[in-house]
Amino acid sequence: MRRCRRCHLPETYETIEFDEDGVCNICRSTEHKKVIDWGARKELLDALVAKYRDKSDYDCIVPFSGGKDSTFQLYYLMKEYKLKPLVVRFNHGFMRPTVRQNAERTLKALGADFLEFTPNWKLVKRVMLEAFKRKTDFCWHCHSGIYTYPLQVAIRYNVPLIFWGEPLAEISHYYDYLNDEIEYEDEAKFNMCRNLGITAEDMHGMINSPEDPVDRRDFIPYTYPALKELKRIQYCSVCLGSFIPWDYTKNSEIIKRELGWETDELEGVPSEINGHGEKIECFMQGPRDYIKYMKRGYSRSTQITAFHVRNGRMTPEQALPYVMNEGKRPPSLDVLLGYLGISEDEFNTIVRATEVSPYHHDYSRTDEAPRLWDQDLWHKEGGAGDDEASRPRVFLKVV
Amino acid sequence: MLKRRIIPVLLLRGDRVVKGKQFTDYRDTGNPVMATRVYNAQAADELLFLDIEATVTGRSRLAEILSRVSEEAFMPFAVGGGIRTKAEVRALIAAGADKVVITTGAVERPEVVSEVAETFGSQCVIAGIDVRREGNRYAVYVRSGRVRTELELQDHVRKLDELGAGEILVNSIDQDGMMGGYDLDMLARAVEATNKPVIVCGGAGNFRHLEEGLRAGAHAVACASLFHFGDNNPPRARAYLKNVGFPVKTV
Repeated sequence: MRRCRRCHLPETYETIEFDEDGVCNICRSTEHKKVIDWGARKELLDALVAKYRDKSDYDCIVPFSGGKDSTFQLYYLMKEYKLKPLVVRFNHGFMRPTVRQNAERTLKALGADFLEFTPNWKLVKRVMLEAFKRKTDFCWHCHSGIYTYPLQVAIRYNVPLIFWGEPLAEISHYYDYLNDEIEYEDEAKFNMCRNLGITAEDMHGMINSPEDPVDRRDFIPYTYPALKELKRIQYCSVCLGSFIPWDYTKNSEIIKRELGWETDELEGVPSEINGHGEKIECFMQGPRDYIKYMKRGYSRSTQITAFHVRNGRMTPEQALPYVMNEGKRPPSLDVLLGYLGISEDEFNTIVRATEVSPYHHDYSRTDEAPRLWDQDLWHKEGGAGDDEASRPRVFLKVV
Repeated sequence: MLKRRIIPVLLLRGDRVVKGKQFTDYRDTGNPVMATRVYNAQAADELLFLDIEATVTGRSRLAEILSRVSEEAFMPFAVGGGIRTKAEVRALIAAGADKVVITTGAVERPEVVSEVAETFGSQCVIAGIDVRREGNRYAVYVRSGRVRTELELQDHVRKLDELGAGEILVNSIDQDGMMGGYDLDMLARAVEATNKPVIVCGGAGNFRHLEEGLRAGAHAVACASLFHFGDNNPPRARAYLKNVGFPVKTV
């Protein structure tokens, strides 16, 4: 596979393009990040905050998982601007213990009101299977819900300002820093690259049947609010990373120091490259990254080292061994198969059909990633991933 | 150099969009208005709406759904299904369509192609051809693939060209929904028979198939299953085609 000669992202990475020097558009976009007038952007942010402060029961909504980005968002807005946020979490059902503890610690330390919403699990399982069969991405409920639900809360509480975190320009080329624009989280962006191209209206019709009817109302949490409702509250839904330079490593250092935020193992990724704690909030991240590897021939280690290379914290040479040594089967795949109610052969057949050219996966590979310390604590179905013999005696995390 | 286009195809059945295999075995793929909103956000080059029940049942929801679709679509879009007269085309254009696709009508009432081309211009008429392979020839089918005609592909392409069609949409019933790649032989024959732009349809399952279609002479690649049943979208497809050297729209 052709790879960016700088960050090693391969040609199967979504929206990647290479220039005549063999450098990818995401690297080029990040170069531009360095020359943006961040002082001017900060002034824009000052003005935005001043415009919305004290106008409602809350100054803003902060969508929050408890992961590194949303924790930094919340910390920054409360420390830098003394904002009073309503913190909203859409719980995708796969929250890991460390992130739960992190969230509790953060909310207590900062002193913020917190709303958590957990959707109907039976529906979640059905849409997981449907989205997986159609798109080989079982996370439709999360991709949709984390973006729609906080906006519904914004409307209900009449809070127009919504702060998201990392800019998409860091991770893909749907948006880039070269545009020199503020990134809005609006319905167009949601439909372009968040919801797999499947809206709640689409999904309801896909799984609703006379034999197994689905209540339309179960899809309300996943439905993007009508524009007229959003306009009524004069919504402003923006990425904080458009106003201040987003640096995963630095942000993590700050929340660790100031809030006691802890990182965790990430399945299939060597801990020494993930000190900043990327993707540790979801225990289905391992299967997600594994599917990506099976389809596209790269996985999370490559993405993480690509950030480090772009930010000058690693050389391309230092990154290469990690890029070359990933794609191991995650033990948590058994847990996913239990939720989906399918065998690994069926799983492989579905993934195989969506392989992205020119990558070709070797299905005879059997190497397995180390089992995560908390796997035995997760909810399981169908007896999957619950092997008594491999279950550790001590269930508490040894710190 | 003329930009190459990627055209998502939406098959309308009742109030929903569907996708099948070989013109049968249809699965629900969404709501037409929301699907348009999604493709609009993804800056698709064009959209193709085909009402697959129109010529079979004689009823069409096209105009009704079109009026809601056109509120969402900022990209050009073409519509087809049961079109036989200039008056119908006028109504569809008034409802927001930029082009029409005439397939069965072009066989059963060929003059409709020239009537529409003369009134609204050739650029407004996409002549559709659905074919099945029969040994070393391609037979033209009508009525959503249900009725075989005696027409042969290349003769039919030439005739539609002469009638004034602006583009030819050639669709393989055999490959439809199979995601194994376009019928490149079919495409080559169509391209050979006309100087008009040819849109190839039926069988694209991955981006390499799109590349093959363009290399074989298609001006535009139409696809449905590719986007419905795979982790793909128009921006990703454009990036792929750009990397292999084709001029595509920059968003």
